[in-house]
Amino acid sequence: MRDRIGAPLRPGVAPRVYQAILTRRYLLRKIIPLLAMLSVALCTAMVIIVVSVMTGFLDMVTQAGRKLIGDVAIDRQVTGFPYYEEVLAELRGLEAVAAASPMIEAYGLLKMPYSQIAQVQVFGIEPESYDAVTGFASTIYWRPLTAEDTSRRRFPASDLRREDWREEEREDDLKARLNAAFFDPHYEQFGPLGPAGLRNHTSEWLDPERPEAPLIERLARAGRTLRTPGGSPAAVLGMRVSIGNERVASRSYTFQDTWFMPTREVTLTVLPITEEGGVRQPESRILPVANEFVVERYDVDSAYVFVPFEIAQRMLGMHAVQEVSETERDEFGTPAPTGRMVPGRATRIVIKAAPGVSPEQLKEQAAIAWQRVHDRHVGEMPPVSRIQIRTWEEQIALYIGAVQKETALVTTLFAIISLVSVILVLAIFWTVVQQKTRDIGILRAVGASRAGIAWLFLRYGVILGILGVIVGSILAHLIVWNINPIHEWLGEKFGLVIWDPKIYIFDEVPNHVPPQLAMVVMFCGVVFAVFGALIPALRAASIDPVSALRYE
Amino acid sequence: MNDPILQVRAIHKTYRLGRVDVPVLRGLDLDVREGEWVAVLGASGSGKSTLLHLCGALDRPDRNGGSITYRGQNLSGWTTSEKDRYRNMTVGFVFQFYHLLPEMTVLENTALAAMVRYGRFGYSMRRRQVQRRAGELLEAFGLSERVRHKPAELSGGERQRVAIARALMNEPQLLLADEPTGNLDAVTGSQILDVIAETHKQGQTIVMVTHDRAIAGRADRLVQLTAGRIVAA
Repeated sequence: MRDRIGAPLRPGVAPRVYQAILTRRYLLRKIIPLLAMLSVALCTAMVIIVVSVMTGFLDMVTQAGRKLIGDVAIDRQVTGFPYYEEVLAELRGLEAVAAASPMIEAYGLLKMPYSQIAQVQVFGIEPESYDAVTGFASTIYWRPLTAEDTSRRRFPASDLRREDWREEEREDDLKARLNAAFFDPHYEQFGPLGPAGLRNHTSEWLDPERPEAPLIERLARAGRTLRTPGGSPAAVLGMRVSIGNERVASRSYTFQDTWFMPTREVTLTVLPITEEGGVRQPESRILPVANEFVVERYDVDSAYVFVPFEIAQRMLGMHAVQEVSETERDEFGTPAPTGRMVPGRATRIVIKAAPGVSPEQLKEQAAIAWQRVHDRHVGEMPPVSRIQIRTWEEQIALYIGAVQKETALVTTLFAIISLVSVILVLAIFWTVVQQKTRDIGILRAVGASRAGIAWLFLRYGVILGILGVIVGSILAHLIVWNINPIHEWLGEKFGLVIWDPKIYIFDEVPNHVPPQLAMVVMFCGVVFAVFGALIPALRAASIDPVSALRYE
Repeated sequence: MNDPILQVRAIHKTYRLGRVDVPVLRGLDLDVREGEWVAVLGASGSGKSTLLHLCGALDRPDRNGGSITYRGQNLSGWTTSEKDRYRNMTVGFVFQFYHLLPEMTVLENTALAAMVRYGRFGYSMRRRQVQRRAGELLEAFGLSERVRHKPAELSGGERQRVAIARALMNEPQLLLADEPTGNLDAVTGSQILDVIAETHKQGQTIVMVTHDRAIAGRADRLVQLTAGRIVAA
């Protein structure tokens, strides 16, 4: 088909070779467009860095929040619920359940060896099944460092958990320090805690089966089992329960010698509550400290204390007992047993989902299991509506909600700030179009269409945008990957410490760039650059060719 | 006598300077026949360049301000893209100040009209053909040693020869030359006129505007532009 002037018709907006040549030459010859590219690069880098650190932070907070709570928990606080063994048996029979474990939760007071009383949340757990649900053993702090630990992080030479400490002389050193801790002047000053303050120190901590086992291994085992090597029930404290422990870099803790908690004893006091909600006499018990744990969540690390399930049950009066008659007395004048057992109670069951089962599906299954047991003991067990069955996300929703909002807010703010690049590109392209006015006139005179001229500058914007986001992305990756050394260097050089490990749960700034988010940011960077180039490109297209040719 | 390929009838063109309307062309008539070299002689500011811009569809006359027809077709009835194609393939402009693209080499500047004409694919299919044509033109104008040079590395005369080569690239029906020697010394100017005369000899229709009677004298026909009209033909 031919038009009126006899030329073959062709689409006027199809890209032309002159646009490619001029884009290339403009890019290589001019400094100003490189500045536009730099602004796109910096904005892209800034947003990628912020997005990476914030999402990494959110991820860390979520992971920390998720520890020790399983996938789903059945809860009835304070008074607890009976027949938990039957519920556990029902749950363990389900395909959706990988593991389940009973717990008792209560508030308590913990008298520390240094005359300090801490308010704590006491958790009675069955260490083995609890570990199967939550990975409790992995949170134990005083344990020999594995090759995996040391491959991921550096540990200071003074770290008690280092391989070197397991050597003979180190072992002696540790023992000496522990002994010093026991017989230090502070301890003398405050006196032993009750009659058993120094009880069985040596015999409790010497493993009768493996007397040669290094102390750190004995500690680790004691922590995992909540028993001393001598077999006594023991407590595991959150790392920040003892004010002697101080958090330092690399997720490590230092302790003041006199306050090294494991192998020492604490007095735990709880307030038993009856099934009807009545309060009994406070119960106290001296417990050796088997170990400490860390989940990197301050509210958990500073307040949680784990004790063996049966100890908690007994102290809180939740263990199974024989029912006695209110009226009848036996030959000694004490209330006579009725022959019926009052079942033991638990306040929580934590459940781990089988692979491929979502927490929501598990939650439904748990409710069904509960209902089955409830149907067998109507009147003795609360119905499903009176207990809480929550997924891990529901349990920590409040805890991570604030961080989620903060992440979204900061990301949005930086995205808005990076709109500055649009203005910069616009200003720079406006200048470029001004400088190239005569070229535009020449191109129009040889027949270039308005669309062709617009595309010349728009294409230029696209290429600058693409180069800018590539440079920005490389820059962001380099910074994020090395953000910790950079942070350290800033600290050493200028005393600038943004993330204080004593305060924040992360001493290492997240240094992973989420690829999908980076792609989104890069795409937006190009779109921003094109937006910036759009108005100058349209202006270029609308320039009157005659005045353009006369432009000086 | 051939039919006129370009007919300018009663053309009016007014520019606006601030609040004042300045009429430049006031009912100008001009016929250009195929193969003819017409020189339009006029003083500075008489509207010579405006006339060329109108003939080349770079600009348009006032509303109801006459008509310009190319081979019987009124330019004002054309769409923007038809005008673009007309400028690209039917006319070739030569300007007083050469107007070469400083970023492009001599060869690229010469081939510019072809680059504008074809899409990327079409151009790459014809790349050799285009480069051969550009090379021939440059050789004919004595510039074969300069093809890789940038305009800034050329003398004025060389630049103008490149500009003429560019104008002839798409074998236009009409060459529109605006003071082609106005920025050159007499010797170089004369060489440029020789180049133009040579293309005319090969049948090229040319409209040239100038203020220099001696230069205008090289054309087949001389018309005088005074007060916005052709006063002598």
